[in-house]
Amino acid sequence: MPLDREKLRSIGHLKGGRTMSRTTTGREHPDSGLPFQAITDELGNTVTEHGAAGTGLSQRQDVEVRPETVRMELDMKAGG
Amino acid sequence: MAWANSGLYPATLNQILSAGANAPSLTVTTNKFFLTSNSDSTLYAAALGATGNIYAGTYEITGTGWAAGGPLLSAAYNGGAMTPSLTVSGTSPVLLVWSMANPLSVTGTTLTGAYGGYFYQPLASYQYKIVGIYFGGSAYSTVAGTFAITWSSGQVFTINCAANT
Repeated sequence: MPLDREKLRSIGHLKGGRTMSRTTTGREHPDSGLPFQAITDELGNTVTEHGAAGTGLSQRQDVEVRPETVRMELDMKAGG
Repeated sequence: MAWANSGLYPATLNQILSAGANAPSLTVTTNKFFLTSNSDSTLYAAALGATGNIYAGTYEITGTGWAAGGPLLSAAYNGGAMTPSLTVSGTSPVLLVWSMANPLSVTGTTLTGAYGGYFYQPLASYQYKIVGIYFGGSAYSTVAGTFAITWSSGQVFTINCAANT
């Protein structure tokens, strides 16, 4: 189930510096109480660990990579 | 060696631009995307068909939910297509943009230690790489989870086609 990003922001947010990792923790579903921890590193990539209820153990781990666009330049001279 | 950057494969690009035999198309969903470890070398300068220019399983990352060779673009978005396209954008700069309508997102994967991946043409004997995507220098792993790549503004690569004035 996709995460509600707005909800994540409102639950808990340990904000680091620009080059620090950012950690978000909370409960994915208030009813079931399944915990999760999402860590976004300085590259903007996010690893989300989902735990089993009441155990704190890792049950599932997702990864979202956000690579920069590969930008190429043709080497030309204006007017040349 | 190791991953250090993203890049296009000029030998493959040359084959495309010169309408060479078995040149990949950038607008089909029959291309694939595979992952490798940090033991891999991107070798962007490799000649067409030479080691580095073609798909190889030597340092490939595979696992549950992610078979050798990686997913087809037709199925890499939660079973649907990523849908690549080539467009011309802007007037200054003038960009040729290779975009994906959707991110890569594969559920139910268990993968360990991916540092980057490649788009390539999975045509036997002509498995030319198109572009390498560097994840930034960290190893990324999933456990029974989703492996996803979100393209910045949907763009995989751009080529600035106009000289600076």
